[in-house]
Parts: sequence; C-alpha cells; structure tokens
Amino acid sequence: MPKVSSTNLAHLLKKHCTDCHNAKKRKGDFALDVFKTPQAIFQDYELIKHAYESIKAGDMPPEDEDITDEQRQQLTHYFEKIIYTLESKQVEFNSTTLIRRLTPYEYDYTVKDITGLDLNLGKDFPGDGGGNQGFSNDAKLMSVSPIQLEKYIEAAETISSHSSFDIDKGLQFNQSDIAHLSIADYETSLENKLYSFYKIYPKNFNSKVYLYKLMKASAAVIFNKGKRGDIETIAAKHRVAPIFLKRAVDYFSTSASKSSQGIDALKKWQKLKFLRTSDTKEITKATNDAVSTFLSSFQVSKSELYKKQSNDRRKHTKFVENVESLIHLDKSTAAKHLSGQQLADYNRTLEILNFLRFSTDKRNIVKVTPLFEPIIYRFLYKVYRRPPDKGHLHKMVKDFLNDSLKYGIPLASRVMVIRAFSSFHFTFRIEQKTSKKVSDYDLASRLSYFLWAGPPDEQLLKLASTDNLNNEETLNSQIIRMLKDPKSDRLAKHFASQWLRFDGILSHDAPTEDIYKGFSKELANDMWQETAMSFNYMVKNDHSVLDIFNADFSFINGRLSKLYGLGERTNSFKKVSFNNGQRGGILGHASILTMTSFGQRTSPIIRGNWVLSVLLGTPTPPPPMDVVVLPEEDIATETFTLKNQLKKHRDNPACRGCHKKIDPLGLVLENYDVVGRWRTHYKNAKVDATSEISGHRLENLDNLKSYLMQNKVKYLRNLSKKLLSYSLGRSIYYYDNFLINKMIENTIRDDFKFSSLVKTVISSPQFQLK
Amino acid sequence: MKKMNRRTVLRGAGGITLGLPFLDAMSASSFSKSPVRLAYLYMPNGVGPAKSWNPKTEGKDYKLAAATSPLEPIKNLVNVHTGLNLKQMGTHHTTTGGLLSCQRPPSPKEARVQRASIDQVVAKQIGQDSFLPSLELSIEPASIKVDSSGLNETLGGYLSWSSPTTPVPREINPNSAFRRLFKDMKKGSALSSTDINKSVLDYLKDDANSLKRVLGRADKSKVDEYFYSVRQIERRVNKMSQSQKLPSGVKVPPKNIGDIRERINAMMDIIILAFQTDRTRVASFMFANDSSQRNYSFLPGVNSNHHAISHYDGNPQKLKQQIEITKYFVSCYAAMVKKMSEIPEGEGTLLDNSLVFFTSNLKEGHKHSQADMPALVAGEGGGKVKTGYHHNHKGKQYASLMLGMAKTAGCKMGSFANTNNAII
Repeated sequence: MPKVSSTNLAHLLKKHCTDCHNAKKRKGDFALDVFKTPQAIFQDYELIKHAYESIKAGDMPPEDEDITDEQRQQLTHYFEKIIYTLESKQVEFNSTTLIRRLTPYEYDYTVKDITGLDLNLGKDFPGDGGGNQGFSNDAKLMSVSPIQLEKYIEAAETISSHSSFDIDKGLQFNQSDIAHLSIADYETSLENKLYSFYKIYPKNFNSKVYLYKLMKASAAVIFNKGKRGDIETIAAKHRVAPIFLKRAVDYFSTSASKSSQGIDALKKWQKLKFLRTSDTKEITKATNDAVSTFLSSFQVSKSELYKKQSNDRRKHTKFVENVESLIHLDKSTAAKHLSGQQLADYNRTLEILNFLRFSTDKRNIVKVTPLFEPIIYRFLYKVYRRPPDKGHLHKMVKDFLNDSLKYGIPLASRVMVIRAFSSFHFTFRIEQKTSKKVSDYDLASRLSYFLWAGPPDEQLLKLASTDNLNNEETLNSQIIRMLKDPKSDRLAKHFASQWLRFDGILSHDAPTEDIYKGFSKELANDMWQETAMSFNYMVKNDHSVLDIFNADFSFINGRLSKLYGLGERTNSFKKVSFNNGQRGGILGHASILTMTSFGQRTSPIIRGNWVLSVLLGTPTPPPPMDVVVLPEEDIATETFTLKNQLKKHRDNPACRGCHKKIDPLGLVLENYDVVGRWRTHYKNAKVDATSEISGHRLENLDNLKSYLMQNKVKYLRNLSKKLLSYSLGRSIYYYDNFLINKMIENTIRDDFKFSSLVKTVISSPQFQLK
Repeated sequence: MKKMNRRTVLRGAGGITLGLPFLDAMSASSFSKSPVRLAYLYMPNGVGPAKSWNPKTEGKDYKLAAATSPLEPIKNLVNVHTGLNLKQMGTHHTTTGGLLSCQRPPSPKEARVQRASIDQVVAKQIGQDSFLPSLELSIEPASIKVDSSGLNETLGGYLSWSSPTTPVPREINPNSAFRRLFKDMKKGSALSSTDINKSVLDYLKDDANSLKRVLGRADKSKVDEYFYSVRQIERRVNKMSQSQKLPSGVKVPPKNIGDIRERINAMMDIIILAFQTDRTRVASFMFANDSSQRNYSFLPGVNSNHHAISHYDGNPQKLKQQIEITKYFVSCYAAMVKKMSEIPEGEGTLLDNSLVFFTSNLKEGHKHSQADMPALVAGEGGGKVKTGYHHNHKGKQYASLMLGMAKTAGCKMGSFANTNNAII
C-alpha cells in the first residue's frame, strides 16, 4: 500500500472532487475542501468513510470526470490508508464522560425501582434533545432549567404524598393515596405502639380510659390508707395492672402532698388523702371531684404543648410527662418485662415520643439523632444509589428533626422526601472525579442505566460496596444476569425503539378508510409489541443480533394473525415460526411496513431509505432542494404502476445516484400493503416486487434477507454505533471507531451474540473511564 | 365524557381572553412606566410566494396581499417588513434552530447553534424583574430523532436557545403552562407554606454547592445550571408572595385540549395573560415544529400534510392550500394583537407597550431560501414605533430587525449576529 502523501492527496481532491464538494456548493451536503491541515482530515472519520465508499464503488468521481483508472485507484488507496490508520489503533480521546441527568423515562424507572411507585411522572418533564445517533439520553444536551427543576420539585411532592414515616421501618411508600396524620394523631399512634409492647395492657387499650381507671383505683388505695397490702385486689377489681397502680398511688399521694408542681389539679388529691369519713356518698363525691379536675387540667396542659407560645410551657411539660409516665413502662420496669429487640424498640419509641412532645431545645435533637440516622441513611442510600456522605446525612437528619418539632413527623418526613427526590443527587447520576476508572458504585450505575434504564439493584450495590464489581469475571456474569432480568425489557422499549424508530407506529396516521378499515390504537400497539418482543427475545436468550432481520419467526397475537392472513388465534402473543417466506424478521413486521407507508399508498422510497439508513446505517444524502416530491396520494394507475413512476425518476441523472440504492430495497417489499398485509395484486395488476441492486436480483423477503446478510458488517457497524452511543449517553466521534471495530470483530467471533456487543462496550475505556 | 368547549372555558361572553378583568391598577402601581414586552411567534415551512405575502407598495397606504389579509382589522397596529435577508441557513431543521440566532448552525447533525437566540438575550436583560425571565411555548413535543438523512431534528424543535448548546424546553400543555405561571397549588400539598418552600430550596442550594468540591470541572457547569435554577425558583417564590394573585374570573385551561386550534388559542391567551400580569416580559411560541407534517384539514380545501403542501413548486392546488395555512396562522396572530390592543395599560394599551413579532424559517418551502424573510411586527414598543406601514428593506439583514426590536425593548446592546445596524 503506498504511503499517503498529503500533497498528492490534496492535489487529487482539488482536481477531481472539490469542484462540487466545496464549502459553497456542498453537493451531497458535504465539503472536502474544509480541511485546513492534512491532519485535520483524520478528525472526520464519517466523512472520509462516506467518500471512500463512493469512490470504491466507482460512483465517484462521476463517470464523465477526466480521471484515469490509475488515479482512481490511487485515490481509493489513499482513502483506504487513512481509514486503516483511524481504525487500527486506539486514538487518544480526551472526551470525559459528562455527568448525566436522568431522562424522563429513567426518572420513572428509578422512582419505581426504589420505592415501588409507578407514578409515570416523567411525562410532564420537558423532553431532551438528541445526540448524533438520535438517542434522548445525550449528556451534553441534558441541561437543567428552572422549568425542569420546578417539575422535579413538583414530582417529588407527588412522591411524598405517597410516603409515610414509620419509626422502625423508615420511609414507606404506598401506591394508593395515604391519609397523612396530624401531629397529635401521629403521637397518639406512637403511644398506642408503646402500649402494644406488653401484655399488661388490656386489648383495645385506651389511654384516657386507662388513666381514669387508674385514678379510681388510686383513690381507693389512698382512701383505704393503712391497708396497702390490698393493692393487688384493688388493681384486679379496677382492671388495671398492679405495677401501674403502685406508681400511680405513689404519684398521687407523694407529689400531691408536696404539691411541688403547683398544679391545682393535685390539690383535690390532698383533700382526698386527709378525708376522714365513712359516708360512701361523700367518698364518691370527693373521688369524682379529684379525678375530673385532674383530667381536665391534664387536658389543658396537653393542649398547651401544641401551642407555639405558652407561658408555662415547662410547667405543663413536666406535668404531662409525669402523668404519661404513669401508663408507660419506665425504663427500669420495661427492662424487667421486656428484652432484646422488643426492649430496644420500646425505649426508642418512648424516647421519640418524648422528643416530639417535650423537646424545647437543640440539645434534644443531638440526643435523638442516633435514633433516626440509620433509617435515613438507608433511605438516602437507595435514593442516591450510593452511600450518602457524612455531612450530607447529618444535614438531612438535622433538618428532618427540626422540621419534626415544627410540623410533626408526618409533614417533616414528606419534606425530607421532597428534598431527597429533587436533589442533584437523585436527579443526576453523580460520579466522583477521577483520572482513572470510575469507582465501583459509579460503574454499578453505568451498568444498570445502560441495561435497565434504572438504578442498580441490591446485588450490584453490594458488589460495589466491597469493591468486587470491576473484574472481568464478575462483570461478565453480572451482564448475563442483567440481560436475563425482566428489567432488560427496557432495552427494547428505549434503545431499540429509538434505534429502529418503531415508536413511530404509535403516532402513525390511520390510513384512510377506503384503503384499510380496521386500523385502531390497539392494532398499532400490537404492531409495536411484535417488534419490541422480537428484540426482547433476542436479548433475553442472548441470540444472534442478525435475528432482528433474519429470523424465521415472530411474535403475533389474534389481531396480527388476522392481519397476516393466518387465521383465528387467541389474543395473547405467541412465538410463531413461518415457512412461507412472508414473515419473520423485522422487514415482515407490520410496524415497520406501516410506518414507512403513506395513508393511501406504500412508499418504496421510504421503505428503502429505512433499510438503508436505519438498518444499515448508510444513508444517502438528502435530495437536492429543488426536487419535485412524489405526491402522497395514490398515483398508480392500472397501466402506469408506482414502479414505473419510480423508474422514470431513476432515469433522471440527478436522482439516479441515490435512488438506484434506495428504490430496490423498498420495491422488493411491494407485496406488503400500507398496513403490512400480504398482497399479490394491486388494482387488478399483479404486484411486481422484483428489482436489482448492485448485481443482486431481489424478488422476495428471503432475497432481501440474504442481501442484508451479505452486508451484515455494515449492519453490525451501525448497531454497534447505536448501542455505544446509547450506553455512553453521548454522540459518537472518530476516536470511537477503534472500539466499534472491536465490537464488530468480537461479535462475529461470538456467533453474533448480543451479549458480546454488550461485554465489549462495558469493558471498554469509553465505558469505564471518567 | 362531555367534550369541553373552549368558548365556555377560555372565552367570556365578551370574547375577552380567559375572561380577564382589566388589571390596569396593577400595572400603574407597579411601574412608573410600563415595561416593553416582546413576543416571538413562529410558523414552520415558510409562508408562500412573495406575490401572496409582500404588499405591492411601500409606506402607509399599502394593500395587504392575500396571505396576510387577516391583518386587515389590525392593519394600523402592525408593520409589515419585507426585503430582509438571512445568509443561507442550510436545509431543513437548521433553519429553525438557527433562526433567532440569525446564523446557520455549525452542523445539521449536532444540536448546536451559533449563539443564544435573541429572545433569550433579551430575557437576560429585561426579563429579570418579572416572575419568569421568559416563557417558551409550543403545542407539540420537540422531536429528537436523527432523520433518515442523518440530520438532527432537535434543531427543528427549538426556537429558543439559552446558550449555543442549550435548547430551552418549551411547555406544550396549556394547563401546565398556566399552573406554572400562577402556581396553582393542589390541595394537601406539602409545599403549600412559603417557609417549607424556602427551606427546600435552601437545602437544594447547599446540596449543589457541596457537590462542586466532588465533581470534575466539566460537570461543574451542570451544577451551576442547577444552582442557577434553584435561585430562579427562589426568586419566584419571593416574587410570588409579593405579586398580585391571579385575577378572579380567570379559569385554568383544561388538562387535555384535543383540538389544535383550541390549544393554540389557549397558549396565545396565556402569553397575553402573562404579559398583562407581568409574569413574564419575553415569550416565544411555535405554532408547530420545523417540517411539520400536520394536516390542517379543518381549513377550506386543505387535505394534505403541511410539509408536502409547502413544496408546492408550480402546483396551483398546493399553493392554494399553503396560502390557506399561512392565512390561518396570520389570523391567530391578528387575533392576539387585537386582544392586546383592547387591554388598557397606563395611558394606552398592553399592545402599545409590546412588540409582537411573527415570522417563519423560510419564505417559500420548496425553495429553502432565506432571502426576503417574512416578518410582521405589531405594537409600538412603548411608543417608540409607528405602526401601519410596509417597510421594504431591500436586502438588509434580518438580524438588524432582531437588534432593533431588542433595543426598542430597552436592551443595551451594540450588535447582534455580526450586525450593528438596528432597524425597527
């Protein structure tokens, strides 16, 4: 191979190419005179490749150009050499992977996988732009705008409305709407929790009723002075637990006598203590008096606690605390009756309740922080897909506790959910700066967002937490596991649908009724399903990527079966093999055949173009701007078919160059009508689906498949580019071609298995370096 | 479900926008002088041939051409500008993406333009005192596909760019747009108190700040964007508590408006309302995306997709349909201008203090040429512009008009897109 002499090349380009392909004329929408230095030419791989294909095929320079065969050969060699250089070694690339925001669909999956909530919030977010391979996850274009952030906060609020805070289990999420408790109700629920710990509380425990009973019993004991041994009997009679009765009697007699708390309510108890009478009526009256006065002033003190400004807050606090403790197990009593986890839970609940009720200063926050930190840590770990850093965690806990004192736990926990889900940590995929390979946590997310469009699961996080993820063996087995996981359905839904564009079928205009009557949303959905399921089947079973077009089976349900003329069938999708050469592979899918048709007629040009650009990745340049477009209306007559129309336009030298490549790939599909039904006749004429492309005769789907098989490297290159772009969330540039070639090589070596492509991507520096 | 009739929802019996009461008191008290508002309206696929767009004579007493005939009732309130050129902007989507930055984007394959679009430049200067610096609306999602020729359709979906690589997201649902402007809080929201709102925003700021230490340089710009967004929202929370509530009688547009016409009208009403209540001073609106294939079959004689029609070339059938479509958009524009002229503000009207611009990415669809661009400008821009004229600029730059409008609105700028010659 001759060495590339840049002067020589420049000379040839100038003489034979740049008359048309210059910055001004831009024939074919590209220019070859834009390279300021010979080195610059190496930067535009796509352009060089494109030019090379045309030169090699003999399409360019055009036939009438004054150029010798030897010069043509020379030109071909030069281009070959440049391409060889570009493809055969890893070109240094200085493109750092930019931090990525979650796309709307990734946002939804992340919420779903973390909380179990299926809220479909992403649909309200602004859409994103696309990179040069057409995927909406391009990091460069993922800006944050005020509107975006507003929507995030709004969505986080919605998530919070499905959340509740359990002091043991932490944040709970519930798909159905949750009734959020008031501060007082939440505290009552904590109280009830306390009472439930020990069997000495009767069933259907009611603290008010119990306090009442306890006072009645206490009064009986106090009045019955000197016969204290009867506490058990009195307790049994009043149906209260003796341990509570003992404490109550102590309280009512001692505290009352000291009257230390200056609460009027206790004065009546003093009276009772010194009452000397045997008149039952008088006794009952004094007892009732003491009990009811006490209860009502307890009520007053309790309500004072919820007022922001209270004159005697300390006094009331102390009082309520004391009374409450009469029906709580105190720490030492609890230790006697409970053990292990139960005791710990009991004490925690008690402490939290006391914190919420009685805290007045910051010191209490510090005291209860350890009670909440583990719960909030677990929550943030899930939401951020990594361990939250210490400072961040402390702040989150502190804010939460402050809010709890201000607004109560129910609202405070919702506000915490809003903070977490609108924070940068959740909405972005944060990666630590590094000049080397990314950390295992970062890699776990890169893997999961690539294959699941969602967060890493417990297994991945666990591997990351012990730094055991990034070795070839583990990675490969994780890739296989992840591809088999139901969540890899999302590859079909988001990667394949953007690559093969079959989402188009969902917004396709129905053909007019005189052409086809049964087109419905359901049918369009079925069509979408067929293509998605076919891709998914290939992924889940790790089959050949060539199956996408080369399979002899597909997935159809009742409606599709009818459409395909295969008779009745139940409406669930089933895998079906075909042997009549009409179906199997994406080019027999109604989805593709329909969305590449107009409402009134098929369009061999659109179909051919789809095969050429979407499947093979070798688009032709856009038509000249002044071209006459064929109308969408049905232009075929019985004597002058669409095929003839197209032929006429291939006779035009301005069109021929491209259309000789486009038209045959669409014409061969003429046996499929505007909704993908099989047809042998059209307008009384037999359908002629024969054509020829660079020497290959095309007559039917099988011929087209074998043509594509012969071009499988182009197909592989295209798929590799698309998959790489999707996995990296960026456009593809010249320096990626080394990797792309490696993807092609490895995949050919591994029998075209899908996992081979995935593994090559994941082990690449592009994927693993920051 | 019973179909919602827009008239009952959005129009009072008197035909006033959203049943709007006049908010004259507000504008008089809030500003010693009313600010100038700017709206940029865009229709795709070109407007049609010069003979059906350009008036034959210049100056005051000109006769409107066929496609602009809906301007008749507001002829005295609008100027028709012709003879303005853009340098060749490329094909297809690049012409829309680059339109308001007045230069051909570097590549049809990348979602990148040469500079921030004029509306965003203006918003940076005059939008900072209002609730939203600018409002971007459309009625259909932007496509992000790379089309069959490898061209990036993102360029065709965004008129507004806040930086060369940042297309500004547009709101496409009137209900969301409305709720965003007037913060229509749903019941039981955890964010109904201003204190909580502020505490959440404080938290997000701290969060973003702390990340700067951890992240690499390239990523910091994202954090900055995020930080900027938090500050903007914070500003809004403050402004919200200061500014007047939504005027009574205005109804929230329904969640789903199926009919295109109703959706367009609802969006234009929202722009007027936002201007009127000073929620924003700069708005951009796309009637449809570049190369839109929408079928406007509700128009007389229109039975095919817009993009195909716009390539009418010599076909009289198609040309007729193109003119119908152009007339439809111009009539929407005229209706908006008329409504604004009926809303008193200070000594004059809302329109007197506005500039409402109508344009397209091309003149003629099939020619893909940016010579003699369509441009209508209504309103006096705060008394600085005389209306009722046809100005033929005979080959001056389109960017000059962009510069002129910006300057009229009070922007301090010497040049835009390589021109320092301002016209208005």
